Amino acid sequence: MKTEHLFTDQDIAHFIVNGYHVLKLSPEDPVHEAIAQELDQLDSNPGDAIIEKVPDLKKIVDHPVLLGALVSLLGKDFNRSSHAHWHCRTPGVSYQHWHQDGTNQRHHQIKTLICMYYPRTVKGDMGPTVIVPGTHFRNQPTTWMTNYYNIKGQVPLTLEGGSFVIGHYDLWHGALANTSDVKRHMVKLLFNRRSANEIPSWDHEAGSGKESLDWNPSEKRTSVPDILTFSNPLRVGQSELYKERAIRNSCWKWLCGKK
Amino acid sequence: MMQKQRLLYLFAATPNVFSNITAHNLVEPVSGFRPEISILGHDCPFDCVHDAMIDGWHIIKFPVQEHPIEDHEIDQLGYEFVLQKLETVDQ
Repeated sequence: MKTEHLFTDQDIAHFIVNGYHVLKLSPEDPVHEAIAQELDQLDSNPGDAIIEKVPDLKKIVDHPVLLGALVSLLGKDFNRSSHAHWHCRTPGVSYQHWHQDGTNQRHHQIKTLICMYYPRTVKGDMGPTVIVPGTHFRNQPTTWMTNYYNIKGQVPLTLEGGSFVIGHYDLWHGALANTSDVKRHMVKLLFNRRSANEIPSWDHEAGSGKESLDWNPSEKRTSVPDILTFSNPLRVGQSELYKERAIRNSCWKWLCGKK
Repeated sequence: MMQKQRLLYLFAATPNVFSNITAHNLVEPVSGFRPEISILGHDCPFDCVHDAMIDGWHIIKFPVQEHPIEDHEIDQLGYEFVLQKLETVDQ
């Protein structure tokens, strides 16, 4: 199977560091507005049956840009979970607190992706999803997060219609209040890894993980070792950054198929 | 006259009062007050816990060394200081 739109080594390294990646799925395609209008008409939440209820979503799931990203992060034999959900944030709805999805079974690999599709443009007052890049390896019961509100580095996902956000399943996320007078639609899908990589499943360049570190501070760090070593999206202290580096390097090696 | 307690949660990068603030949360003793996650993001008025002390905030809970010592584990984000400021108001 030939797969286009694969991630580069740098894309993979940035995903390991930040825990998310934003795709643009042909934003000019009228299918996005068609899907949004179908969602507008729903009077109840179909839950896992959202794709059956809105069949145009199949075009999104089969989009070649998404396929390339999923193969890159989960391997060629990935599958889609039966769980799906339509998250409609209606006008006037309050914020949603920080949480990690699911139960307390965290790990330092990439096994499940939480994917969020936004058919319409999301502005800041429309209740956007908000994420904290770099939190996906932090095992934190949601009840322990209740005193966190605004976190340095948090990112509201204000996006163009047709955007598709791929996140590590354990990424901390929530949502802002919707103070606008329009519905904000998001369709959540989950994709799972079925087997560990034996070789990299992305557009890998041999030796890219072995370049020497550049110890001179620079905004333009592009080598895989530099990205994995020096990135600090949470601005944590030195000892925690050392731990994060070790976890990131372990994840990179695991994705490369090294035992 | 009565005293009301304002609460300020500061999550610092380390247990040191001079380390950078990672997250914060201000709780005002006002009926109906609820903090929330904001589009403005992290707009803490203090760069570190010490700056808040200078402003008159008192630390009422220091972080314990609660982060895992195992090198393969990371969990919570920042070290939680809880501060208060008492304000006298008319009843």
